[in-house]
Amino acid sequence: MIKPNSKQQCSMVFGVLVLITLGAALLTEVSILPIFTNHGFLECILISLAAVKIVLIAEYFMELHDAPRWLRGTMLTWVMATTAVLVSIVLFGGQTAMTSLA
Amino acid sequence: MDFVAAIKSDALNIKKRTPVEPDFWVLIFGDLTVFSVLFIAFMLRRFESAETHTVFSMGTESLNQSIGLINTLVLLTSSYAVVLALSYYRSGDLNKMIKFTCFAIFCGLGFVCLKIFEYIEKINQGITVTADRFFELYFTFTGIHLLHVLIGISLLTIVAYRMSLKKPDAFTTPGFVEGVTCYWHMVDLLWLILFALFYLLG
Repeated sequence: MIKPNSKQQCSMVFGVLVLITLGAALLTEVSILPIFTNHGFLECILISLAAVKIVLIAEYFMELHDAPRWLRGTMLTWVMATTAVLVSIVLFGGQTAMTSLA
Repeated sequence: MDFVAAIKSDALNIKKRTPVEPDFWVLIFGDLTVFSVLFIAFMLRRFESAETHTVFSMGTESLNQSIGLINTLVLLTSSYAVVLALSYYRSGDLNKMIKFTCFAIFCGLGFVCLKIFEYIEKINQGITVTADRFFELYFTFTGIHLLHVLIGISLLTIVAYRMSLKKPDAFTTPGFVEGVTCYWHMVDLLWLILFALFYLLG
């Protein structure tokens, strides 16, 4: 017998998704703060926040949190691999771009 | 057994907890992999040199951030509506299921309208797909995503229409309905990365 997601749980996830989205948009507005002057720091945070939202959608909206391990694992691997590659490009590619600018 | 009872019985008696048919996940992961390549290509181009980095930063600044944010919230809301629609489908409340599916379609159409408005705004400013490297990728990637949104809207419309007929067929089975909802969530999550890459990374 399947166990559908509770509406309350999904409502909470939806609220969290909206908050993260608004928070990410707000972060780009306060990027002048000293903590964000390090090249790539803000970009890494924004990509990671997008990855968190994707995991929440996959786990609760796509109902993978109680799916077979292979299916859940494949989705999480896709999210983590894509995020890792994008963050690596920001960290290493950013240095290259700044070096060529100098 | 009437239509509603048949749906409740079908939806609640799936032994394995694999949402949607395994074959459908091949399609989903295939699509996700293709988009991964596109995302990586975007980032590699962005950091190719200091010049491209500047072009991409200027491109991001010239985009309408408010429309991008509203579109993200619209797609998230439509995804949530689809979750509720599936929940009502499983409990046999087909009227509410149809209402929430129609709301998700409405949100999807809102997304399409805002995207077309954004394209027209850019074209009126003389910015087209050939303007620079940023807009070449912007129009291509968001265009491919828009095509996915249109396919999703069509599938949701088929489900809502067939449900309103209250006749069991291939488009009202739990497998098909779950497949369509999963596809719609995939469209949503792909937009979340596109939004971060094109609108937020300055």
